[in-house]
Amino acid sequence: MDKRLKKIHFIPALLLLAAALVLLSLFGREGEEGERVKNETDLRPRVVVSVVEKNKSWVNDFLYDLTKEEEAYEVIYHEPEKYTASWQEADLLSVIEEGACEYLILLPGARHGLEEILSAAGDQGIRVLLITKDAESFPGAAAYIEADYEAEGALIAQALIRAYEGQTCRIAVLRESQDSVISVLREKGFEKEIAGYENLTIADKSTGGGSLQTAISVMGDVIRNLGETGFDAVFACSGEDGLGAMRALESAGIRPGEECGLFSAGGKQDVEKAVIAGQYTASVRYEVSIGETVRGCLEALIGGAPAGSVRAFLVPVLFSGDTETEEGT
Amino acid sequence: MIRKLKTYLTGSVRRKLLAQIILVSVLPLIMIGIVYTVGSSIFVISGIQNNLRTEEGLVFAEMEERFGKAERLCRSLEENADVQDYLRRNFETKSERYSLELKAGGDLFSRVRDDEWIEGVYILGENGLMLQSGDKNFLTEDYQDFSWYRKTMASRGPCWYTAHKGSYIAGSVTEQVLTLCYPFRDAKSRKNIGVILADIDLAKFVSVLEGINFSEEGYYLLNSDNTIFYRTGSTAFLADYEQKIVKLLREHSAQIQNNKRSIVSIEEGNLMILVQKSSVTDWSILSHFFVLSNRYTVG
Repeated sequence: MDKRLKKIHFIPALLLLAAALVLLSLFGREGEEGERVKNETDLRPRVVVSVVEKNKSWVNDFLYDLTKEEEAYEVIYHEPEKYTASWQEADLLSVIEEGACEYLILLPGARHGLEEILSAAGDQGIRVLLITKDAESFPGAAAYIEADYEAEGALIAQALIRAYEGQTCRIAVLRESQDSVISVLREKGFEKEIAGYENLTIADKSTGGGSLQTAISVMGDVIRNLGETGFDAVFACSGEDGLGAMRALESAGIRPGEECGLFSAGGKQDVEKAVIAGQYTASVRYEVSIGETVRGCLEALIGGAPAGSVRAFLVPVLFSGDTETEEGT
Repeated sequence: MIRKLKTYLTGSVRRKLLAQIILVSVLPLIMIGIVYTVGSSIFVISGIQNNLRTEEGLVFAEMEERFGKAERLCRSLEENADVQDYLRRNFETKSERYSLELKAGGDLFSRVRDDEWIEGVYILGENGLMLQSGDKNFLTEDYQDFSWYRKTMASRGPCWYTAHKGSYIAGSVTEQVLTLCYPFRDAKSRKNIGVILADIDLAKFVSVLEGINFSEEGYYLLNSDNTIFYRTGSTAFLADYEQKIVKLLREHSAQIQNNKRSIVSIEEGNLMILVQKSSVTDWSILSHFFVLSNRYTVG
């Protein structure tokens, strides 16, 4: 066959191929999106907050205090997928590796892995604000916010000891969660403090969950299990659990603060209102809130304070019905 | 090139025959391809358009129901005899007021605990009473100088506020909050004696809407000026599309404004938008349909 003719046979084949390509392009690009554009670049320093506390209300208050004058920095809160120290460690190592922030506010879920996190952050030039009980054990952070949760538990225990001096008191303990370091330490401090008093006994321990809704339900169960006269006071590890206990007591016809002492190691606005209204015996709060304290430290670092020079202590104070004033430790 | 090809093909009978064969075999294929493509596109596009209308109707109905529910909740609080009594009281001491706030807060909590998308309900009385359904911290003890408070006190009906960060009243870091401010009228004196405020968590509000949404790109929510204040789906957005949508909205604002409760279709070039205006909030929901010469997307 003529070579030229052979070539011409390719023309219909090519035309068919082109038609097929056109058809494919019509149906093969279904749903394709246009070019996406990113939002305007934010030049403020990025601050990642890492807290694995299940108590959303506490975290909400903390973040609100931290962000209410946020213009100077951008706060990025990593809501935990799992409320565990191992999740926190993995999340932080990935944040650090990506260089996703310039500052890191860290309330560690556990001591384990903390040194590695601090070292990795240091290598990336990320300045860490560490909220901890023992700053000395973890050098390498840019700022330390020291909190002694055991002391908070002990402080509220002292209020209970005074309130029930010479009387028998069976205490229902409402802890926040087994996973909450803060709650565990507050409970530990409380128990240590009342250990020497024979008139004070623990009647029940339950997990309130750190939210109003769950605490109401759990305290309701406690009242049903122990009976209305089966306990004399409630100790809650957080303000949210305390408020839940207060509502459950009211529902059961028990007057909180009068017929049943109500104590908590964490305070908040409604808790203090309840103390003033005589429906809550006492609570512990910080002289300056944790959010405001952390904000002060962060601003100092952003303002140029050298790493390691910024330190603050969260001073727990008692808010009681007797005094309606604060007593420092 | 074409001339050379023409000369070559007409050079001999064999070549002429070859040219005829090509014509006879390829042309019908091309014609069928074109007819099929155009027909299918029209069929697919019209199908998508109908689906989109149906879906938008469903999303809209759900959204209307929720806006209506928030207003009904406020109205029921306004009509509640106990709450009327609370807001008429004068408090001698803070202790007395706080005691009532805690008690009534518990009742309020029970009313909204099942509606997760309602982040909080607050009642602020001219007598200083401050009730809330949750346990958040109030930002201040005095809200009377805030513009939303003054506006609501001066109004006879509900005022809706589009997405803003955090609550007007309580410490909250929720990224996108819709707020309903509802004047609380004294049933006896017929005067406004307080404000009921409902905060709606927009992410939770639209998450249920997205459950009946077949498109990943989702919907736009527009305020009464037809300005986009929320887009579902990704935070990034299709900038080119959006500029065209904004332009169309501006041009057809009167048409949208006058058509409440029915879907308005607007077409320009390859872009079609469907807009439906809420009779409760005066906001709109918008979905769009974009057809390029050789592709389509639905959003």
